[in-house]
Amino acid sequence: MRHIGKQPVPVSASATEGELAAECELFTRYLLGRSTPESITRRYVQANGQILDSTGDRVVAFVMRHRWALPYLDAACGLRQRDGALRAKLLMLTAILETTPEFADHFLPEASGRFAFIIHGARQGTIAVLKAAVGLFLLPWVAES
Amino acid sequence: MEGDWDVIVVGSGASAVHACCPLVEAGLRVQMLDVGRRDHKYTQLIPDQGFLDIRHRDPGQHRYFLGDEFEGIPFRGIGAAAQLTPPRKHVIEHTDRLRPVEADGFSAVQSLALGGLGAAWGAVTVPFDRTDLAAWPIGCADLQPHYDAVARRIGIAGADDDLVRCLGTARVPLLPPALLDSNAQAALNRYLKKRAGLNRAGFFMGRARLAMATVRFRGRGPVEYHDMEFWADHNRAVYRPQFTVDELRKHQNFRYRSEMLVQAFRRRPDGDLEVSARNLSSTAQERFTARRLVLGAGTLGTARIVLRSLQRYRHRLPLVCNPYVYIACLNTAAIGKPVQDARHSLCQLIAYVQVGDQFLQAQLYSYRSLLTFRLVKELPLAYPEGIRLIRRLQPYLATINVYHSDRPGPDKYVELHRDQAADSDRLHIHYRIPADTEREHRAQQRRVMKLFLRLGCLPLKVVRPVHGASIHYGGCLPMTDEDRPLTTRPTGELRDASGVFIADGAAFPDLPAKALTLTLMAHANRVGVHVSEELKRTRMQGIC
Repeated sequence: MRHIGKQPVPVSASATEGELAAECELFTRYLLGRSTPESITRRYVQANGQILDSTGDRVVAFVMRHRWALPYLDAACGLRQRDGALRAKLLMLTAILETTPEFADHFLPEASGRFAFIIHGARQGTIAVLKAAVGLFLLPWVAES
Repeated sequence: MEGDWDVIVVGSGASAVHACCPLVEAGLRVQMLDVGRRDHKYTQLIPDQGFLDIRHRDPGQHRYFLGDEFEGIPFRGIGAAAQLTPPRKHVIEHTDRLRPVEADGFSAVQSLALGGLGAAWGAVTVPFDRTDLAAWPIGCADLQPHYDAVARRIGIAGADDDLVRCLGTARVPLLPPALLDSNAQAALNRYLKKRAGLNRAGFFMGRARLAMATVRFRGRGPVEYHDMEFWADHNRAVYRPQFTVDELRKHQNFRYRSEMLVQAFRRRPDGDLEVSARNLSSTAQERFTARRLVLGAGTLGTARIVLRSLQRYRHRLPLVCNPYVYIACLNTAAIGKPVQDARHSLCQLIAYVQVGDQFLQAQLYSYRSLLTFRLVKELPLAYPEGIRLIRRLQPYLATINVYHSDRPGPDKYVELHRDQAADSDRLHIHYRIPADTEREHRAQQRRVMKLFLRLGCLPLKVVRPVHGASIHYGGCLPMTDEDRPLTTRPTGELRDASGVFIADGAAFPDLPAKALTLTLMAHANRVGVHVSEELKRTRMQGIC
């Protein structure tokens, strides 16, 4: 068993599973704009139990209380806390969603023409920079809170 | 005690199997001792379908794509053997425990699998040339018959294209080249347009030479272009050493023993060699005797066995390893071109870049079947933006692997350390490249990037894995004409132990900037031929 973050704590109480289910729902909507099928939730809870422990992680806890902050803190953690619990959870859910047939098309490569490629890249880059700017302002405060 | 074998061969990887072939063909009694780990969990789950079909249809794909314990999700940075997927993780399983290593500046990758590291290799097959062998006591003429023998055995697909300039014309007819994907085809088309200028600049590119059955070949293939080569061996299109073990097992004079961790050898009073091994199933110690011993346990495995057998603890052996980097590029030449689904996952193109009097090998790969999340993780972006960007980027993403040569040096060695209390030993590896060599490598990488830029490949990121990540090792018991301890003769025979032969990279004096596996196989075949001829001669003379 690999441990990311703090020492492992067994996932046993249903409240903890409920929290993980709520995380999964939030993160799936964030990643794909859809709600989570039960099979995904089960796999997410299982993965958290097996390899992740984010009990007490401040950034994850903040995001669960203030859902609006998720995009900004995700962007900021992508720069400053790449090995942190939030990024690990998003990575894990991304992998789970990608390997589910229902969501395959959200992840498969997408060909484009040159003009569309440039415009798309510029758009995503701009959004990323703006989110990161807000998140970098927010992150130190969240980490201290 | 198990007796009476002509030859014992240790290991089942690329070296060991090709040492076995001439021995078995000569009618000698050959026993292969191997641990032989296999995957019993995931391989059987993978349908024989194309990558896109699997992605859209198989509800169980998460099991082999991610692993039941999510071992396929790389939470940390890019380490050695990062490309090993859950169905291939068995290749390195249990090596930490059974072949412990402590390393300083090096990440050692070892295998106890059936097929060794060849069970997961990338199948690039290129020979060494005169320049590559300059420091060796043998030359092209010594190896050529064995390159030919191996090529006839495994089948090499490719074309006599501009790579002929660096590899020579293939003497054994090549199988038809593998189809290129659209990304690689665009790069090759750009190269062909600018070829004259690029050749003058010392850049030569062509289709990758791969041990892949592009047509039906000796019961394997043809490749179906499912883009699943990192996950499964459906149709056996890509050559793996374990396929040769299967063929050898059809011979009455060959025996394969798995679950055998060979530990040491010694010479008996009657002149035979005795090999001791731990049976990992029963935990019993077993002993085997033979007239000759061929070690093909991989450079580090062989070094360990020799040092332990000769009780040379804390004696330094040299170690060489190809440093390598990979450069993620945006192939602008491919943007806007139609993308095809039918493809293979392995190296698409090879380029040779002249630096001084040598050539560096660069291998171009496209990216799809190792999944999007692995790339998204590497981006400093919020996940939704990362996913959208990678989806658009992926069809045009080219990864260029660049190998550098390596020669022995004072800061590159292995030692065997004994732990008296635990009655065990541990291989200690120390590996440092001098700062001026690092600078030289970076200058060479910049040159490679500039030349690929002329093809439209815009570098995005240079990834410098830890040393050892190339999994190209050699040098520990080098072939030499000089009579020095812990070296091998040009025949591959260990000087310190008559009748013991080194069939793997441990015998290589240095490593050129090239894929080495074909040369491992040819060297091993050469050792096998030598041992079989030697035993035939001694039999005729009535000597054992």
